[in-house]
Amino acid sequence: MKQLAGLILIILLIAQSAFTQDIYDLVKEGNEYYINGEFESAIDKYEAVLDSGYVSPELYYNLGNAYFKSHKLTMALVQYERALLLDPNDEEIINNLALARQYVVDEIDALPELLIKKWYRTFITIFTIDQWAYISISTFIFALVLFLIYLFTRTINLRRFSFWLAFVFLFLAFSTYVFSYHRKKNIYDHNFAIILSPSVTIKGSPDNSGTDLFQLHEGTKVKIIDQMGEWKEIRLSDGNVGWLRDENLIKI
Amino acid sequence: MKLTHTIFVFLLIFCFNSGAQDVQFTADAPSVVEMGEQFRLTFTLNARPSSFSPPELTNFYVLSGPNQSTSTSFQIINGKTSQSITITYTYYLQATTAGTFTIEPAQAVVDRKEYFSNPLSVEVVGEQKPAPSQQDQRTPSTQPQQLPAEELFVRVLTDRKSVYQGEHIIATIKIYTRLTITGFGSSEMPDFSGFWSQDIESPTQISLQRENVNGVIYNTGVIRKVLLFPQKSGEIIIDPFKLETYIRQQISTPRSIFDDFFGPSYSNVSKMLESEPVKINVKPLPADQPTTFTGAVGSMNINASIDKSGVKTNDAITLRFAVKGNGNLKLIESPKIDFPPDFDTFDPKVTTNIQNTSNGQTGNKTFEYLLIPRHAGNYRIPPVSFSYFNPEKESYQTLQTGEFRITVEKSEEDEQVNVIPGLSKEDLKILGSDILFIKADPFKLFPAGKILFGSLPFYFVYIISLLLFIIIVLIRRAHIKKRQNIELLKNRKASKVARGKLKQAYKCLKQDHKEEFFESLLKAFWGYLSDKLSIPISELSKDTAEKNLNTYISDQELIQRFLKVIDDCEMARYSPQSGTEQMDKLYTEAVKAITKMEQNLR
Repeated sequence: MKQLAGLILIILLIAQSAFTQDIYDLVKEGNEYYINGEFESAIDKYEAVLDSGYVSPELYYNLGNAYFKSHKLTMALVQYERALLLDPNDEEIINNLALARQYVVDEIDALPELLIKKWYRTFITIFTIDQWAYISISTFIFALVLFLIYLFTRTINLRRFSFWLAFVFLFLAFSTYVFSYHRKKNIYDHNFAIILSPSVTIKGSPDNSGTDLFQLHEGTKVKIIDQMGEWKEIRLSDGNVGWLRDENLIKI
Repeated sequence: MKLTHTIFVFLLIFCFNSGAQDVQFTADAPSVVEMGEQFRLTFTLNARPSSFSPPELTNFYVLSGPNQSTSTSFQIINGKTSQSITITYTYYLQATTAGTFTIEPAQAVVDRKEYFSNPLSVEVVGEQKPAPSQQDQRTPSTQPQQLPAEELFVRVLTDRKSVYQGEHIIATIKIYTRLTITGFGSSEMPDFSGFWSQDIESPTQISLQRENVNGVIYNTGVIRKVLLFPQKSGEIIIDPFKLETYIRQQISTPRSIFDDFFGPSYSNVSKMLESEPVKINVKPLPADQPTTFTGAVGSMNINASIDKSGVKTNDAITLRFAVKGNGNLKLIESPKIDFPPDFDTFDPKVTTNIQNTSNGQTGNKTFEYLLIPRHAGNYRIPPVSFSYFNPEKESYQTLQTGEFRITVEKSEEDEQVNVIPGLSKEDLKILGSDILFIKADPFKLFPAGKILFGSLPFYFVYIISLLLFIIIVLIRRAHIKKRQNIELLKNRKASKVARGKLKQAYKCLKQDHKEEFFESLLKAFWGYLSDKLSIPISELSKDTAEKNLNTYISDQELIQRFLKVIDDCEMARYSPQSGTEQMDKLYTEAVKAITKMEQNLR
C-alpha cells in the first residue's frame, strides 16, 4: 500500500515536470517566431502558455512586443501593463510601455499623486508579494523566539533587550504583512482597464440616452470605479468620471 | 541696264523664297452643308505651282471654278526683303444628293515635287425647314418674336461620362446657333466643384463651324475648353454654363413703302442661354494601393539622375527626379527618398513644364534635390519608387529607379577643421525609435494566481508558531509551578530542619562531642540557607549566600550577624582552644540568628 502511494507520487511528479517542460518549449518556439519576424505565430505560442495557467513578467513583455510588432497597439499596451504590474522596476518594460503610449491619441494630464503615496507605492515594489510574506512570517517567528528568551532568562539586561527587540520584530512582521497585502491588491484588485474601441463616447449615466461627456480613443488607461449591468463607470487619471459599455474595455 | 537689274533682283528673291519656304497646300470647305446649298471649296497653296490638278468632284454640281486668284506680299524687315505668295483655287459647288462625301486631295507640282492637299469630308444634310426668322417675317407684330430654344443654345460637352478619380475629362463649352449673333454679354462659367480644372488654350476669337445636329445644321463655336480632374469619387454634377447673347432680329412692323425701299429693319435682342447640367460618374481608385502611391493618375515614366557620384565633403550633389507623361502631373507630390542621414538635404526645387491639351495634361515635372554630404564615406541612395494608376489598364503601376552610390572623400578644409577638438562633435542621431527586443533568455514561469500570501498555509504558519509559543510558555509555567511547590515545601520545613539540626548540636554539646557539634551547627545553617534561597547546597558559598540574601532582606546587620555565626563556627571547628564555654555562647548566638532570620525571611 505504501509502495503504491509512492509510485503514484513519482508518476505525478514526472508528469508535472514534463508538463512544465512543454510550456518552456512553447516559450522558446514563440521567441524563435519573434526573431524570424513571424509575430502572429509568436502571439499564438505565448497565448498558449498563458492559457495553460503560467505567467511571468517576461512572458507578458514578449507578448506585448509581438502585439506591438503586428500593429495591435491596444493589446500590446495591455500586455505591457500586466508585465509592469508583476515587475514594476524593469527598465525594458518601462521603456516599451512608454514608447507604445506615444501612439495613444488621448493626452490626459494625470492629477499629481501625493508624494508619500508615490514613495510608498515604489517602496513596496522592492519585494514581491511572497517575498514580503516570507519576511513577515520569519520576523513574526523571530519575535516569538525573543519573547521566549525574555521569559526564560533571569539576566535583567538580556531580558530587557529581548523584550524590546521582540516588539520591534512584531511591528516589522505586521508592517511587512501590510506591504504584502497592498502589493497583492495592486496586482490583482487594481481595477485598471484600457479602452479597446477606436473611439468611444463617455456618457453621463449608464444608458445610451445619457449626456455625452467626452470622447476617448483606444489605448487610454482608465480605472473602473463602479458597474451597473453592462455599463462600467470609469475614472481617468485627470479625475474625469463617466460611463461606458464594458465591451469597449479590456481589463489589465 | 536698269531693267535687267530689277529682273535679276526679282529672280534672286524668287529662288531664295521658293527654296526657303515650306510648301503648304490645304483644302478648305464647310463640313456640313444643306442639300441644294451653294458652298465654296478652296485650295490654298503658298508657292507658285508648275501644275495643278484638282480632284474629281463627282458628287457635287460645279457651279463655277476653278477660279484662280493670286496674292503676293512683300516684307522688308531690317533691310531684308521677303515675299510671300498665296495662290487660291476656288470652286463654287452645289450639293445635289444627301450623304457624306469625301473630296479627294488635289495635286500640285512645285519645283518638280508633288504636293497633295488634305482630304476633306463634307456631309450633305437633307432638306432643311426654313429658318424661323424667315418664316415669321411677314407676321405683323411690333414686338421682337420669342426666340425658339432650338435656334440658339449652349452645351457643355464632355468626352467621357465615366472616369476614375484623377483621370482627366475634357469639357467643351459650345454655342449652337442658326441665327446671327452680334455679340456676347456677361457669361458665368460653371465653378467645376469637385474637379481640379485647367483651361486648355484656345483662340480668343470664336470661329464658327458648321455642324450637323440631328439633321439640322448649326453654326457652332467653341467658347472654352477645360481639362477636368475629378478630386472625389461618386456622381459629380457640372453646373450649367450661362451666357448672354445678342442676336440681330428683324422687326416686323406694318409694311410701308419705305420698308421695301430701305430694306427690313433689325434690332438687337439679348437672350440668356443656359446649358444643361452634366452628370459625371467618378469611379473610386481600386483599394490595393501601393504604399508609394500619392495620387498620380495617367500614364507616366520616371527618370532619376545625379550629377556626380564622387565628391568631397561639403560639396553639393544634385539629384534630379523627373516624371514625364500624361496625367494629373501638376498634382504629383515629391517622392520620399531615403537619403543617408549624414547628408544635409533641402526641400526639392520643383520645375514643371506642362501643357494642357485636348489629350490631357502632358509634359514633365522635375524635382531637384540638393544634397550636401557632411562626412566622408561610401553612401547609397536606395532606389526611388513611384506609383501611379493607369486608367486604361485599370491597375496600379510601380516604377523604380536604380540605386545611386556616392563616394565622399574628405575635403582638405574639413581635415583642418577636424583638428580643433570638440568642434565637429555632434549629438547621437536618432534615426527612428523602436521597442526594445524581447527577453530571449530563458526565464521562470510560475502558476498564475498561486501566491503564498493570503493562502491557508500562510495563516497556518502564523497560527502554528503562535500555538507553539503558547505551549512552550505553558509548559514552562507548569514546570516553574512544580519547582516552586518543592521549594515552598523546603522553605516551610527549613526552620524545622534547622531546629532539628540545632537540637542534635545541643546533644553533642552536652556530650562534649566537639567535632560533631560544629558539623551539625554548620549543616543547620547551610541547609537553612539552601532551603530558604532555593539554591542547591553544592552551589552555596558565603558569597552567593550574601548576594542572594541581599535580594531578600535589606537589614545588613542581620545578614552580617548570620554570616558571622558561620564564620565563627568554621573558625572554632578547627581551633584546638575552643572550649565548651565558647561552644555554649556560639550555640545561643546561632539559635538567636536563625530565629531572627526566620522572622525576616517570611
